Amino acid sequence: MKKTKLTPYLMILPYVIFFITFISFPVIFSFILMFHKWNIIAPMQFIGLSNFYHLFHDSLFFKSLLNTLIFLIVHIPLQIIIALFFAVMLNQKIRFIGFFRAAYFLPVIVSGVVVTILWQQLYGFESGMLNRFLSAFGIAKVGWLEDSNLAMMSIAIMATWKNVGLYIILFLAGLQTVPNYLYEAADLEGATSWQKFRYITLPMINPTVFMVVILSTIGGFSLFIEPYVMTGGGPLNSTLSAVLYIYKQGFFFYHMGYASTLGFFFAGIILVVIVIQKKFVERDA
Amino acid sequence: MKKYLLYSFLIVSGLITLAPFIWMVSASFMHDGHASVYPPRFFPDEFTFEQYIALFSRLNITRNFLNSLFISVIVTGISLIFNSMAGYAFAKYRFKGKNKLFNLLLSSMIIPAQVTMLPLFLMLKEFGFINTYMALIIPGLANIFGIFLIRQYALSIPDSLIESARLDGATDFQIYYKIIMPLALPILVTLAIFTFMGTWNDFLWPLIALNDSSMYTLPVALANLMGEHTKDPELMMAGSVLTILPVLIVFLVLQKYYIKGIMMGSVKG
Repeated sequence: MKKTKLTPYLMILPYVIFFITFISFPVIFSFILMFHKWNIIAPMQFIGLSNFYHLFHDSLFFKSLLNTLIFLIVHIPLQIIIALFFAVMLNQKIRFIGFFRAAYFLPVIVSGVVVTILWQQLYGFESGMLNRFLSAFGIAKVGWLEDSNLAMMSIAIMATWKNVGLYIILFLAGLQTVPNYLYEAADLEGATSWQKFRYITLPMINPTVFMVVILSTIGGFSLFIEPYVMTGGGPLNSTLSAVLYIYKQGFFFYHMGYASTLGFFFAGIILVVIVIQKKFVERDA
Repeated sequence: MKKYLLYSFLIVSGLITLAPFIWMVSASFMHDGHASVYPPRFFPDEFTFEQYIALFSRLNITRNFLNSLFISVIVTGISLIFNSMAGYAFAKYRFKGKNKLFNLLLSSMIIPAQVTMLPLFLMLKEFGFINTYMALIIPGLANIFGIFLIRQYALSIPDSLIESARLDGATDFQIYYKIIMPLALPILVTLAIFTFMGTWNDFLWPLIALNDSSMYTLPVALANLMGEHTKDPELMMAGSVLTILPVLIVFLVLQKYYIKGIMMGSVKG
């Protein structure tokens, strides 16, 4: 370590300037906007807490929150179970492990737009692969994206397919930190595979589980591309995610003040959910 | 017996993951309408470049491809310089308020994009940057996650190396450029892949910041195309192949660094 006076400050200066201009200032600006009405064209108008009043009476916003919640409830457990299952499978002496890992990982690196377009071909009502497959067995066609009770579920399954590779890798990293002697000791005691998994593996990888829950919660809350490209939020607003709704308020209707209010409120919800998850997982450990 | 079961399971699930991609490539070489015939065909009856020719000549996708490439390369290059300087300074220099500042910056990671995107748009509009490359380059100039990764890595470089270079009369810049950078190469490569892929695949921000189709990045152009050519799956598949190709090449060549980076970020973060 060296005590040069100026150099370190100069080295962090670009980021500090960036931080002040493009992170701190926008947050403050957004905060101020919450108390204003502004459509960019007419001058900004102070309206006090009206945006909050509007928010609590905006049934469509609460519907978008509920939709996002439905997405999370399907997506997160599905993701964790599948990823953990594959990680346990891959966490042994396997040939071509690099190939399998890369294959499962491929959807993660691909643009969400491409994944959505691909799955649209699968989910299509008349000519989609899935429905053709079902009709071949004489089963009635399913409105994967047309049925408002099913559309969000379909999107959640697609999102799971896209992201699961990332969580397989994370779980694999977690599994490799479990010391082998624990399993050997359990073997001597005559433990079954399930007991070893339940009482050794799960508690040992608890930090990884926590991280995966947090990451997929944050990722799930930012759900946007899939409904934007695939359904536009329909049918009957059943796939309207919160971010899509905020985007529409801000960049379709130019309700800048109101969109800022929604953004802040939504960020608050994310924070609360993560704090609750943290409590829950830590108590479990 | 158990081994066979395991392998067949892995192979089948691997194929399920890969099948849509194989079909995507295959359909992109089909004539119009051939991807949706019944019974479905997995491979083209007749191989054609029709869809790619349409993309490049009629739909001018070259421009979108170059937009994406230009923005991703510039953002990756510049952010690597800024992030590595700051990461190194936070790891190896002693200065007033260092830890407090670092923690403050790190905590800004929890601010979701939904809060900053709107004011950022308004600011860049004020500067006249909306619908220019600047609108996409500026928000990507530096990021705290990159600084964090490099700091963690630089912490493991022994101080004695830096001290002896200083005794030999090396300047601060020489130490950063000639000693730290080469030693930190693995993490720089990892970060470069993250940044390149993240910028290339980004959708929401380019959608907001660009409004002219000739300025669109490839994913935005593709989504836009999707709106107009829903009934044209072969064309969409060709566009998809083009969109994932650069990312796929980067991933296949540098996979080792990428996977390691994810594992490292997860264990230490």
